[in-house]
Amino acid sequence: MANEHERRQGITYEIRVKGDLGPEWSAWFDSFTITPEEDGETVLVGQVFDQPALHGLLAKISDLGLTLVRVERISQASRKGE
Amino acid sequence: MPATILATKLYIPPPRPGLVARPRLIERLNEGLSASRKLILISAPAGYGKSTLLSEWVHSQDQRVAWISLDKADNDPIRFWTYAIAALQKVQEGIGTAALTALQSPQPPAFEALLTILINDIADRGSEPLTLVLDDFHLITAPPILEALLFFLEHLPPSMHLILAGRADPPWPLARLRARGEMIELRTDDLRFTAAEAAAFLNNVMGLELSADDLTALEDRTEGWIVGLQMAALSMQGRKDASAFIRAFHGSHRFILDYLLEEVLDGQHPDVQDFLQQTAVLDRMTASLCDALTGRQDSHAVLARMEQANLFLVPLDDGRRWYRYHHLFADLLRSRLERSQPNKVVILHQRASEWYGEQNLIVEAVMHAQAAHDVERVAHLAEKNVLGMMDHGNLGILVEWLNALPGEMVRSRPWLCIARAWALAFTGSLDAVTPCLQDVALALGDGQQPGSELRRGLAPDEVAHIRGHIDAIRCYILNVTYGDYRLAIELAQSALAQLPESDWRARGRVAVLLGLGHRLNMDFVAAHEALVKALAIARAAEQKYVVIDVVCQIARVEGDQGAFRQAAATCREALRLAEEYERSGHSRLSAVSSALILLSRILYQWNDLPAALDYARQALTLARQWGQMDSLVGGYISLIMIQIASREFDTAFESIQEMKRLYTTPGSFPKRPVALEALCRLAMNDVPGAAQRAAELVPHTDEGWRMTSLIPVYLAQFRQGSRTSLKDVLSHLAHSLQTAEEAGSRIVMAQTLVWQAMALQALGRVEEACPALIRALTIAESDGYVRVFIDEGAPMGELLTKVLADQRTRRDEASRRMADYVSRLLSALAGKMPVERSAAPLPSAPVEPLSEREMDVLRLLASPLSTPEIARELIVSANTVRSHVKSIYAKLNTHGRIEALQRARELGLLP
Repeated sequence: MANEHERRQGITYEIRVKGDLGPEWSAWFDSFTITPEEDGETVLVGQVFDQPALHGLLAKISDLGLTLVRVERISQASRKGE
Repeated sequence: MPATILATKLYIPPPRPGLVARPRLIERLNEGLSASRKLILISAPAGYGKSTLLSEWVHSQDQRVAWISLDKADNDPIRFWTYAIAALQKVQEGIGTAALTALQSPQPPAFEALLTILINDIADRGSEPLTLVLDDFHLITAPPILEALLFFLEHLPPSMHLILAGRADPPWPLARLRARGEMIELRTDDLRFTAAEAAAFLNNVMGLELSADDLTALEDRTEGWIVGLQMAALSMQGRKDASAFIRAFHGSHRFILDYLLEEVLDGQHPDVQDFLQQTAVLDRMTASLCDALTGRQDSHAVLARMEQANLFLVPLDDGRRWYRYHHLFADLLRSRLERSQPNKVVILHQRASEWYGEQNLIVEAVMHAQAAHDVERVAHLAEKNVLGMMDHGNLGILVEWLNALPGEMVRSRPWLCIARAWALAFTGSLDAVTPCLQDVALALGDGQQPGSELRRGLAPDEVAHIRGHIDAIRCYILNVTYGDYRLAIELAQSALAQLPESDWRARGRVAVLLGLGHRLNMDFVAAHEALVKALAIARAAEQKYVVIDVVCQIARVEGDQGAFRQAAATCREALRLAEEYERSGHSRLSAVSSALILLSRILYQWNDLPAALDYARQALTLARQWGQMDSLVGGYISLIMIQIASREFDTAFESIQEMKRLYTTPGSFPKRPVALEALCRLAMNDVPGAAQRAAELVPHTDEGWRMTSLIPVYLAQFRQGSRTSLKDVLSHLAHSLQTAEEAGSRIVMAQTLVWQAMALQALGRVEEACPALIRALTIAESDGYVRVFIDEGAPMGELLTKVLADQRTRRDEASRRMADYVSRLLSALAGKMPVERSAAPLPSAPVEPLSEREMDVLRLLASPLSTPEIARELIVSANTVRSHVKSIYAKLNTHGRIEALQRARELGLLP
């Protein structure tokens, strides 16, 4: 699976939700990296292949009753520093 | 979908015992039912009690409510509307049956047409309020459904309301609905538990006896999110120190459900924890399915315990056979399982697929096989169920399965190719069918050494069966593309030779195609024979609407043969069957329009113009309802011919203009209306006008078409001294006569002979004209044709008078009968003759007098109004009118409208 992910060109998104999510949720959210912040919000960062995949992910967030704070598209350039 | 599962989808969940009453929300819902509103939108994330509120509301009032719990799989428009109608039928028997029939036909009409039928049906059934609830509406994302539903909403009868409950707003112009005050909304903020509701829930319902501080802390932490409160309450049950729990919970920033799920599960026996996780992959569950997944034998007891413990289990029927988890709870359990044992998920789906397969619940079996990524099993299930899935409007689902399979896999399996080819043919993607059939041939090993199919594990009779389908599909395509009908006949015959008796669906379809092919080939005897076989198959299969369709086709063949008495009887049989079908709650079938048109032609031929007009109008109403182009054209031809014959020229011109508007394709010339205009001008004695219309047709039609349609115009031109020769006309007629003789079409023979006689007479060759006319009369007499003669007007009068004088000089029985017939034709020509009738001898006076209401209906029956129009006139439903009509027919001992009217006139009931 991981190889297939790498082969395709994804678009990186950062999604911020209210509440602390444990990192074990990563698999549920399409392998996004899950980082709890100090303000009681959680940041999910990862790649989606296209817009329907992004909407599917947002639907999963909504299905869990999580409150969505922000969705941001991160350009490839800004990720170089990682 | 099997009845049991369908029932769970349409089941209105019962209110849970010990619910927190929410009068403020119930009141808002009731307000939404006022006449000016159309839509109640309940939009909030999961866990805010949307379904619970609706269930409480439904049970708190006594109006009729239809309910569907939607699934992702309901994104197929045919499936969606089938459920919607099934749900409505649960509260009102028979509603929407016409739309349902249309949906399940191989080529359903456009959804707007279909919904118009449904909307009219609902409106026709009176003003008793009716509400349709679509729960979990956010799962519907297919644009065709969303668009059609918006159309439905915008045209909703005032007695009806729509309630949508879901996690996302529908993509509609909601602002407009809001501005017009047509919508009531309940949103997240409305649905949150207020402090009082939270207190009532925790302390009264859950029996927790929490302090005011604890209540405030919980409410603060959950923000009134009901599922959060519920899980907190479950976690606290049986704990000694609820306050400590609340403090820890309040202090934590963790995602509420993440925090609480562990708490709730920890409180359960490990056995139950296991059960919950494993069964969470199911959308709905029943004890034996749970047994299959978990390897236990006591799932029934576990489910009962869980329901008692309030563990988010929702019953789906009154018998506590089917359940589902609260959606959010199931999602949590599933995500937990996927995190901890990803491989287990696949195994569980495979087990579920096997269980459903054993129960013969194929759609569910495939869904779970897909979830298990078990492509081989999906292909296997699809392959074994191709024939069954092609019925019942399941074709769309079948296509989805095929699309989700790797192309190579479909191509290598003949049955899957066959399924795809039928689906493509039915949906009009005809170009794609041929490559698909080539794949089947390849998969069967065609072009390789013989016997190669055996290596693919196909028995010889199965190979023949598949080949039978290939021929049937090719035949179907030729039929819808108006292709080579001789080839179509060959293919149909070959298909019938190969299809096994057990595949009666395909055999029935092919028998109809064979009949149509023979009809186009003008082999009416063979066409009749094939259709009678198709009728037997449809009767045996109790496919009532196919029976009616085939009876109509048989009538058309009899009409082609000119056997009008027989054809009229068959048409009436079709109408009788259709009425019987309507009495079981269905609306009129589209196929009936062809019988109505034929009856109008026959009655026109018999010079019963009022009755002919009535049938033509009924045909047009029906054809408009179903959007059938060919029947609209056929209906207008009848209507205009009748109006011309009745010398109502202004009305005829109006109808011609209406008919021209049917030709909407850019560049298409309305040749038929223009030809009718020429005939109308001719009837008005405007020969130059008629000739001008005829000239307009020259660039758009071939000579054969013009000859068949415009001979009376050419004859009139010739009589008026135009320099045209009748040589071409006579040679065309000689050719037509030969064709008609070969086909055994008496009406065409009579018509052709009449025109021959007219042409010869115009040429001054009266001695040759008379034998032609006598031959026409001999052919026409047994079926009583009238208009074919009298439409020719005065010149025909002259010739008939001559024939009459001649016949009267003879004394034999045949001549006497002929003389009788001719003198009746002459009085018809003079406008004096009473109408020729086919009806059986009439019985004596009716036994029972008609009621006042029946008299009202009878008077309207004498008008040209159709049944729905009469219904509107009397402000009753069409079904009520039909039952009055039935009773009138019974009391007058008659079988149809014309006969009843005639009888009523004889009895002095009508002027």
